[in-house]
Amino acid sequence: MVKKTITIGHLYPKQMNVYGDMGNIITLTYRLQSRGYDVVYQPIDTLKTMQSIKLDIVVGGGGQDSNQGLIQEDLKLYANEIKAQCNDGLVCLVICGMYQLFGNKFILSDGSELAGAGVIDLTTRANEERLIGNIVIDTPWGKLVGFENHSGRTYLGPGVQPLGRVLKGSGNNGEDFQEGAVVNNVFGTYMHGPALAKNPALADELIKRALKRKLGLVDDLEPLDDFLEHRAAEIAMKRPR
Amino acid sequence: MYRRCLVFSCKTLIKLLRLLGKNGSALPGLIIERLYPDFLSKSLKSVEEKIVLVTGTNGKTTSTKMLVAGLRGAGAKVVTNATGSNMTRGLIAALIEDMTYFGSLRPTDWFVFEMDEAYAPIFTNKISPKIVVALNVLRDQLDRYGEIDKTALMIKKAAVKAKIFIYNGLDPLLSSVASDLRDSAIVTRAFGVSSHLLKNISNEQTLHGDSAIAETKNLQTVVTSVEEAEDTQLIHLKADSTTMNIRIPVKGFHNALNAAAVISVLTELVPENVEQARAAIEHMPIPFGRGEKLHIKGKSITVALVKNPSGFASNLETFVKQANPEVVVFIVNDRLADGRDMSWLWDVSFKGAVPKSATVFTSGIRGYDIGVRLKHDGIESNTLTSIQKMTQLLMKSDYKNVVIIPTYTALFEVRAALKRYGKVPRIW
Repeated sequence: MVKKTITIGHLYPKQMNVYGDMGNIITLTYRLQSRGYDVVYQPIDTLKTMQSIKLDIVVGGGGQDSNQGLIQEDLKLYANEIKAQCNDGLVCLVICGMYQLFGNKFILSDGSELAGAGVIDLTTRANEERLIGNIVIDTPWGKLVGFENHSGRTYLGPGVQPLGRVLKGSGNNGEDFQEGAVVNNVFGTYMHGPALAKNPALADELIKRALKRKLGLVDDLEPLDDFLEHRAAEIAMKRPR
Repeated sequence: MYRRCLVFSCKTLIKLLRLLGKNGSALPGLIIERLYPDFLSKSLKSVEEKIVLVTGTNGKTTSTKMLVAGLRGAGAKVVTNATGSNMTRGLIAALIEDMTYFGSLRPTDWFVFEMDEAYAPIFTNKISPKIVVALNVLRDQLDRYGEIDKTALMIKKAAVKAKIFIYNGLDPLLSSVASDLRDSAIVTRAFGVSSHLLKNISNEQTLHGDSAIAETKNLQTVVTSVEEAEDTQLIHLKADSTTMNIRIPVKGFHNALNAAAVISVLTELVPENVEQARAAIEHMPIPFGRGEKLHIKGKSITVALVKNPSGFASNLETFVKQANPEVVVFIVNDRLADGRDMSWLWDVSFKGAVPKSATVFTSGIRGYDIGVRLKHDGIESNTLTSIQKMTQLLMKSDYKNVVIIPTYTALFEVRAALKRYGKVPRIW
C-alpha cells in the first residue's frame, strides 16, 4: 500500500516559537504517523511559500511581542493568498500571537492600529495587564485544557463561533466567557500547553478535516491509546490558576 | 539599637532552627524583611564596592559556588548566600549569619550574591555593586515574567549601576545590553567559547533552529577546549592573552561556559592569586541538585535540576545520553517556583537522548505531562505522581545507577524523600 502523505506547514517557525507551540506539530505528526500516514514538515518563513507548495495543515504559534512586528510585513503582502486558501477550507491552527495576527487588526495602547491577515473577523486591543494561567473550556470536542499567557484582549465579530466557553481562566478577553474562534477549518486559540498535547480530541478533529479535504475520507479515525493524555488533562484541569 | 536587637534575635533563631534540623534561612529573613525593609541597603551601602552579583537564567548557583570557592582559595574572606535563596530573604539571612551579635559586619573582602534576575534591579536601586555577572537570558517561568526581552531589561537596569559588567558574549540579548553600555564609564567584559565549540552551545537560538550566535570576536575570556573526565572536566581558556586551564567538578558544557564567567571575575578581583583560586575550585563540593552524586543503599544516584528547555537539553546530554544510566526518573512539578505552564517541556527534544536500555519513570504533580511528552518522542515511561512512592520504588529496587531529573520544587521533595534511606548532604 502506498502511504499517503500529509504536509504540515509551520508559520514563521523562527519568530513565533517560544511557548512550546512546536508541540502542536509534534502531536499532529505523532497521531498521523500512528495511523500510517507520512508527514512532511514544511517551515514557512514567508507566505509566498504557500503559492508553490500545497499544505494540508498549517500551524502557527505564539512569539515575543517584539517579534510580531517582523512578520507583519510578510503577512500584509500575502494576506490575500492565505485568506483565499482558508476560505477554500485549508485546515489551520493558530495560537496566541498568530491567532491575533489572523484577525482584522490589533489596536495598540496609543490608539494606532496594526493590520492583521483578516482571516478571522476579530479585533484585538492591547492591555497592560497580562492574562496568565491554566484555562479550561467547554467545546463541541469536550472539555479542553491549556495555558494562556497574553496581554491582548480579543473580541470576535458578529457571527464568529468561539472555540469554546470558558469554565476556568480568562479566554479571549476575560469578559464574555468566550475562548478562541472557529471559522471554516481555521481554529484560533490562546491556549498553549501546547493546545493539542493534552487535547487529543481537538488534534483528531484537525486531522479528520485535513483528511476529508485532501483524500475525501469521512470515516472515523482509528482510535489511539490516549491514557497518558487523559490523565495529564484531568490533573491539569484541577491545578490552581 | 533596633537593628542590633533584630540581628541578635534572628541570629539566635537561626541557631535554634539549625539545632532542630531545619533550614535556617527563610524565617529570620522574612522577619527582618517585614520589620526593617531597609536592612539590606543600610547594611551594605558602605561596602558596595565589594559586592559581586551573579545573575542570569541558568547556572547562578553553580557559578556562585565556583566563584566563592575560588576567592576563598585565594585567601579572601567572602560572604555569600550559600543556600541559593536569591532574593531579599536569602540575602538578609546570609548577612545576619555573618554579622556579629551586635549587628555589624565582620571584615570581609567580597560579598558574592547569586541573584534572581527580577530582584537584581530592585537590589541595585540603592546599591551600586562592583561587578554584575550575567550568565544568560533564557526562557524560564514565562508565566512569572511575561517575556524574556523583559528579563534582559531587568539585567540592564542592574548592569548600569555596576563598575564592571561581565557577560556571556554568545547571548544576543546580553550582548545588546553590553553595547548599550558602551558609551558609559562601565567596563564590559565578555566571555564565551572559540568558534569551533559553538556547536555545543544550547540557548534560545539553537532551540529554535538557528545556530548559536557566532559573536566570537570580542571575547575577553574564551573557552578553547574541554577534556572530559569521569566526574570532572578540564577546561582550557584564554583570558586576555594568557592561556590557562581549570578543572571543575561539575559536568556539562554549560558549566565550561560558567567557568569562563568565574575566571573573568577572578581575573578582575584576584589577578595575583588565580592559581590558588583554580586549585580550590577543583576541590569544591558539587552544589546540591546540580549533578550531585548521592550514594544511598549501594546505589549511585545523580540529581540534576532542570528549570527551562536549554538547561534540560544540557542535562539530558550530560547526565542521560553520555552517562548511560540504568534508570532515568523525570520529576515535574508545577508549583509557582517551577512555573505553572508545562509548554516548555515541548521545546526540549528527547529523541535519541535516552538510551534504549534505560528504564524511564516519570513523577511529580505533572508526571503525566512529561510522560505524554516522552511518548511523542518514542520513549516509553511509567508514571507514579507521588514523589514519596517513586522514591520508595527506587529504593526497594535492584537498580544501581539512577539519574533523577527534577524541576525546582521536585528537587527539594526528592532529596527529602531520599533522606529517609540514607545520607543526603544538607543544602547549607
